[in-house]
Amino acid sequence: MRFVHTADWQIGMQAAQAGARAEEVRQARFAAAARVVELANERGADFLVLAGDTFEDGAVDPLLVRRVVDLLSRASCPVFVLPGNHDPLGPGSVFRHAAWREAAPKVRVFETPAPVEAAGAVLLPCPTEARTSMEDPTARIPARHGDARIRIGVAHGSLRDHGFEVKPDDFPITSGAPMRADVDYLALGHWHSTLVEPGPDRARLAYPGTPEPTGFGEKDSGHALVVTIDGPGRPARVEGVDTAELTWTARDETIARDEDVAALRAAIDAIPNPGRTLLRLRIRGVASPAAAEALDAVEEVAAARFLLARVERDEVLPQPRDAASWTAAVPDGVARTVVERLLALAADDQEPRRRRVAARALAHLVATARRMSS
Amino acid sequence: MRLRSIALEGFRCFGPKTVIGPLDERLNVIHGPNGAGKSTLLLAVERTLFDRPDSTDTDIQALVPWGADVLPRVEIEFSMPEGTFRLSKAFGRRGEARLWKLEGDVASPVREGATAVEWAREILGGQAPSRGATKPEHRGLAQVLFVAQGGLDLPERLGPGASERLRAIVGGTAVDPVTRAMAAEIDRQYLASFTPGGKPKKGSPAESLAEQADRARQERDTAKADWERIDGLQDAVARTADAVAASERKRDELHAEKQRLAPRVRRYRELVQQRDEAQRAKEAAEAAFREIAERIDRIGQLRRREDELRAALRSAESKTAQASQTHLQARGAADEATRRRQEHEERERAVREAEELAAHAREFHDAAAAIAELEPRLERIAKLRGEIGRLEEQAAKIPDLSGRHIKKLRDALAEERSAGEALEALKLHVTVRALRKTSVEVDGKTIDLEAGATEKLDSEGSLTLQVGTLAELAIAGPVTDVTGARDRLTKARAAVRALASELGSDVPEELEERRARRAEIVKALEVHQARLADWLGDAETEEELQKRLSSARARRDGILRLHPNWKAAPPDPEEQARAASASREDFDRTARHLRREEEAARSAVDRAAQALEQARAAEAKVRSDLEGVVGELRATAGDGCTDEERARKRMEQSVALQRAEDALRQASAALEEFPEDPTAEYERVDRALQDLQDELPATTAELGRRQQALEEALAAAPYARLAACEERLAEIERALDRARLDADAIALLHALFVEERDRATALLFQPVAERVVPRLRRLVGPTVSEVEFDEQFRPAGLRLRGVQDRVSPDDLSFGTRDQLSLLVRIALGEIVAREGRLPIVLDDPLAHADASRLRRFLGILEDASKHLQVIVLTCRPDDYRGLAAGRFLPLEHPGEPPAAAPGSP
Repeated sequence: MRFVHTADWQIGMQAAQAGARAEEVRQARFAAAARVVELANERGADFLVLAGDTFEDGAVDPLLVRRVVDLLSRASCPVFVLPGNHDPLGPGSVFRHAAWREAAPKVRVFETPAPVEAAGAVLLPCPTEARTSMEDPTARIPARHGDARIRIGVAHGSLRDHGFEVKPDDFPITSGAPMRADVDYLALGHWHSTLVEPGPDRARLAYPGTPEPTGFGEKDSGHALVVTIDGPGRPARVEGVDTAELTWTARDETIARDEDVAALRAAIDAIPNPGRTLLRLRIRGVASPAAAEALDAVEEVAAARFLLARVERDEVLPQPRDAASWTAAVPDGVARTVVERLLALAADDQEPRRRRVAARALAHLVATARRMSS
Repeated sequence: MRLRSIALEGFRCFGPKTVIGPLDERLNVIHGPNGAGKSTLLLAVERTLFDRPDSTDTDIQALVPWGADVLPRVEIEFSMPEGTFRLSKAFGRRGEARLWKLEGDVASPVREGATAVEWAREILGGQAPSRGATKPEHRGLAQVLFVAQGGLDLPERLGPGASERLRAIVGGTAVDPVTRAMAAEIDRQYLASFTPGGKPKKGSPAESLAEQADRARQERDTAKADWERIDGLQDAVARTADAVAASERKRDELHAEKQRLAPRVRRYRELVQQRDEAQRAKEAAEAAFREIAERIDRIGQLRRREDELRAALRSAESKTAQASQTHLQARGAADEATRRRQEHEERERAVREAEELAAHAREFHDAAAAIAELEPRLERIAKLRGEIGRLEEQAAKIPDLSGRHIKKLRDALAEERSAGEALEALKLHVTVRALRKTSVEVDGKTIDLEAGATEKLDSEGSLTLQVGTLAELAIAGPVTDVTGARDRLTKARAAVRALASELGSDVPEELEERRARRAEIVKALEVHQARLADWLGDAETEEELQKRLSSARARRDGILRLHPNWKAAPPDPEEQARAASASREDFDRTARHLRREEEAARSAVDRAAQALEQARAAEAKVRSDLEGVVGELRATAGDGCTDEERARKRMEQSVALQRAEDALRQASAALEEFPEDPTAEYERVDRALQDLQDELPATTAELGRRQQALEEALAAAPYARLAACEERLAEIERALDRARLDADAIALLHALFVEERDRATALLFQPVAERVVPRLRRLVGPTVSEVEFDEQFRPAGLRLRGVQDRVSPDDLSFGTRDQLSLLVRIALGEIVAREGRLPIVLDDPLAHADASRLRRFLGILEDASKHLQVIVLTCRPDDYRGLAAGRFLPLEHPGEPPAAAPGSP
């Protein structure tokens, strides 16, 4: 038996970090979702299961619900959808949309914890009815009572004993839940990074992660899982498949010498597929006038090439050792004294923002001087 | 450069050649009345030093004298370190320029035409205009040193010739052109983001973004509220759905309960009906029995009552008659008491007459006593008055002398005596004793002397005696001041006479005696006066005593007219008073007794009347009650039955009542199987069911509405809108952070530039300030501590001691501002003149100075003339007479005043 396990599509999610590219980022989530459906079709999956948070919120545009249902209807296998904490059941739930009824029974929403048979296995859903809960959702999985079929639990929540800090009302699930509930595989959703425990060859529980990354700094996301269980009592084998449409790259760089800027430039040049990459570059350190000029070029290149380039260099302060080269950029006299004072402020002021303001003023003054002398 | 002379010919108002000079190398005052051409003179010097003479510019053409057809010509002679020169320019289309070098009387031409023009222009750093005549900015240092009337303010922008020269000499450049351009650019950017006062400017990028952010935040908050409202709507739907389900469950429960209660309610109601009917029958029987029984009882009662009342009426009638008799008797007694009282009161007149007689006796006695006392007293007083008059007369005759007066007389007499003795001592005393009869001629007067006779002769100074024919003796004493002694004596005598006249005698002892006598009289007077006061007693005057006496006599006589016999036998007032008093007491006592008796009798009448009234009322009451009882008995017994018939009827009704009570008891026993009325429970259930059924459609409709509201809210996709708002806000806030950083950077740059530029400017202008500040203190006082300049050397502000804020020149008085500008021009001139003396030409510069400032300013001009050749043009030369040195040159020229305005033929 083979099925595709996915979760956390977060359709309709806002993308404040993406700025003007927010709509493209939202569209990319559909593209990734389509890849998941195609994956199920390609692999001949017996069914596709979404373990919660298909939608970012219960109040998304109803058209999005229709588009998602249409997309799921393109699957050549049954599709099971579990409401998550972002799209719980209840009055006004997205799952009350008429499109779901129209797509049934091929596409089926788990509205109750009642077991559902699929491809000879029994699916044990734990649908979510609220945004928060202090109860373990898997506690609702009924006992086996001698049932010899493959038991697959489907739930949405956080592993509370897995080394991460988990809020008590964030649907806490214990790592021992598969054994306690006596399931062969616990298909989880909620975490955006992929996690398979204890391993891909004999998995008892897994988070597929979101198929499309949701922002900078998110690790190991952009996957769906193909799960194979050869029979009752046999281990579940899990294969992670890339599904992401866009890449979110965040780099924190520190520069101290002109060479560091050159290295940074080279690293930026080496990033593949920049047109589908959102780049956040945080630069700190000290710069000579030449390095500052080179950073201008880096910023310009990034802006030109990447889908989105956010270069944050307010923490780059003038190199105190290069005072002479900074002062040389302006005529002797008043302007030079101003440069000296700005250098002192940028280096010594107790207030970090005042240091940044001084650095910015210095860069501005030098640029103005260059313009005036050219 | 030092000007030596200026010659003008045919230049505007100047006709024939006029020479002003020779000029002093330090101080010159060129004076002339208004219209004499002082301003023209300044113009002539400027045009000659800086302009091409052949320019066709209208400004140059206008130099041609009014109404004349000659070329205006100006010649300036001046000294330079290289020598002495004469620069001559004739202006007009055929204008020319020539430069000579003067050595003694020899003038050698050195330049002409354009080279002469250029050479001259260079002296004060002038520059050629691109076309036409020069403007002030082309005239180099003349912009500072040549000051037209009313133009003391330095120009807003010095021409390059002046500013470069000044900066080069003053101390270099404060701000180079590139830096100035940078500062200007930063200023421009600063003003794009901030107001001149440093506040964020509306419309600046940061402010626009802040406004956008505010708007976006508001939109986000609205969208978020809409989104959050979904939770509330969902909760409301869930709650309402729960309420509908609960209501439906409750409705079913109530319905079942109602079904269970219905048959019990029916049975209960039947039993209740039966009981109620039995009750009503019993009550009817009770009423009928009660009616007949009560009637029988009532007839008996009324009959007994009628008998009682008739007996009572008889008794009341008897009491009324008795009370009436008593009342009549009391009235008779009261009338008798009144009569007795009135009779007694008529006797009071005799009592009053006795009292009046006693009063007369008392008054008569008192008047007689007063007369007896006053008559001798008044006689004594009259005698005393006569004595006092006599003493006062005596005292008036003796002057009131004091010891001081007498001493003064004694002193005058002593002085007279002393003066007489002094005079006698100075005279010649000759005693002639005739030994025989002879005659002696003394100073022409013949005295015959018998033998042995002695004649004493006195003389003053000298005496000539001729004794018969025997001898002539001339006797002379020493030279003495006889006249002075005589004058002293005369004065002393006059003083004695004056005092004697005043005091009445010139004998002190006599005066002493008079003084003692007068003292005795005065003392006697005082004794008499005291006695008189004593005799007057409480009266102010004798007249008052006289009036009292007259009054007493009148009273006595009046009483005697009423009682003539009292003259012979005066009454005893005490006895009369006692008799009157005894009569009064007896009368009053009897009157009081009679009044009390009368009051008692009247009270008895009132009581009897009251008793009579009460008896009558009681009688009427009994009569009325009797009538009522008789009426009621007639009505009660008016049923047409006899007493027996009524007794039988009562028995029949008693049997009927017994039967009805049995029936009621049976019905009540049947109802006891119900512990309580099931109807109430049934009705409660029914009402609850009804209420629930009434409420349920509304609750269901509410659920529908809430579901619809939720669906409508969801259909608006509030999360999508919130997401869009959040994204937009994040983008704006990022841009705003950047813009604020940029704005803060520009503000910082601007502030640093201002600070550094000010610091550099202050250093640059230090030498100027060092000259201006002490002189300004000399002029306006010691409070000035600092003067600040702008880049064009214009005074930008003053710092005053004790004043925190900088004072703008605009806040100064007109005169002070002028004087400050003049001081700055002089200071700049002095600094430039380090490289060689320069002229400073001032056209009436102190027109607004008061006399005190003018005087102090002359000192400053003298001081300045150490380095500058000061040339003052004025129409008030007297203002400058206070200059210690200086040459006064009248502006006289043979040219006539213009006959016509410029441009006239």
